[in-house]
Amino acid sequence: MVDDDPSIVAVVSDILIAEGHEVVSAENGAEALMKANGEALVLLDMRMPVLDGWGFAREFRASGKRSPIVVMTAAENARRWAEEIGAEGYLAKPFEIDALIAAVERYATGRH
Amino acid sequence: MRSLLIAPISAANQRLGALEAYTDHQPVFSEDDLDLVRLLADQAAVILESRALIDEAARVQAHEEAARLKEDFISAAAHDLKTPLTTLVAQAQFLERRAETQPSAPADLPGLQRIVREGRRLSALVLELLDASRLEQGKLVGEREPVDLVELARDVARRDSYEGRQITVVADAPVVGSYDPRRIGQVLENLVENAVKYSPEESEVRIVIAHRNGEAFIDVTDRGIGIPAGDLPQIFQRFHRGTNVDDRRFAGMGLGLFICKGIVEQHGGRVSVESREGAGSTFKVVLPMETTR
Repeated sequence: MVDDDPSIVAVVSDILIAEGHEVVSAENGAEALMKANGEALVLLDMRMPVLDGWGFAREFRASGKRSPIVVMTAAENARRWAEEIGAEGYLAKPFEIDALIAAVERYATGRH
Repeated sequence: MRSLLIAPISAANQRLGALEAYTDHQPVFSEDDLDLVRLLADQAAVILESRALIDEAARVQAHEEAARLKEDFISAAAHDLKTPLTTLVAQAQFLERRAETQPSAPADLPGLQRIVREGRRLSALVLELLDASRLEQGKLVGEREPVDLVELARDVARRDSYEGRQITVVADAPVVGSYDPRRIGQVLENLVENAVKYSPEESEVRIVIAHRNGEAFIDVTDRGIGIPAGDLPQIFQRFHRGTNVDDRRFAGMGLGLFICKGIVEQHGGRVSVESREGAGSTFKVVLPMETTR
């Protein structure tokens, strides 16, 4: 997951680890590009320093990576932003923990 | 006066005025003159009406601009409030689920601490928003009383909100004026907090207070990251944050300096900043020492 808010990263990681997932976290798009290594899903915040969600998605796809992306944002236009970057899904912050778990189950590749 | 010509200036069935022409010598007006005056009156009506329309358009535009700013403000505020809320909601639900499924598991201390921290952050954001809103209604500054700025600065420097950093207050003598002590204290605390937040741990933060020609001068100086030249003109605007600010490390809504500026200006004073990126910043507050009101 990519988010510049350390508390959100910590709690989302705790939740997903408890669900049996592995989590790699990055605090901006640039760090995420460096760490990306065929993950089953990218949870992506949009407004971040250094490299934002749009920049990340562009370079991520340009480098041929295919992991599905779920946008997580506190902005009102979560859905439109997800469409803009061609993301598979979106989660509007604040989200219910069930919605987070459901989104990961639904969009992550290599499961089922 | 021999004769007089009058033509009504009217537009859209509304009488706006009258155009009058006088003559006191021969020859008196002809039929052509009457047509000319009518024509001029009609032209005047067109000009007056278009001016009224332009004024109306400007009013509508100003109104729309104010509505747009308000909408931007609310949407920026909502975004910033949702960030701590996201942690609060998810963390609380996670703890609830854990308590239900594993009642004997030890308490998740980091999770609980996260709730406390984000709750505090949310409450600070709400206070900041309320201040910004009161400021716009001109209701932020309350009762004024004689205040020694040097004593106030020493009080502020002793508060424990600066990560244990030492704050130096430099002044020769008391500098007394009529101020709202709570709000001026808030300005000093905010400037010192910023200085601490954006400078290395061991570096000095200094408040220098002096007076000259009936004005009090407060300088708050740090040796921190400074402000890029491009950000200086907007640094006191609401929701503006320096482009070199890592907002992961430095939480904030970009309202602090906007509120400081408002408090100082409502005291009849002014704020400014001198800064070089990488070399530190000096925020300068000037306050009148005698009350003008």
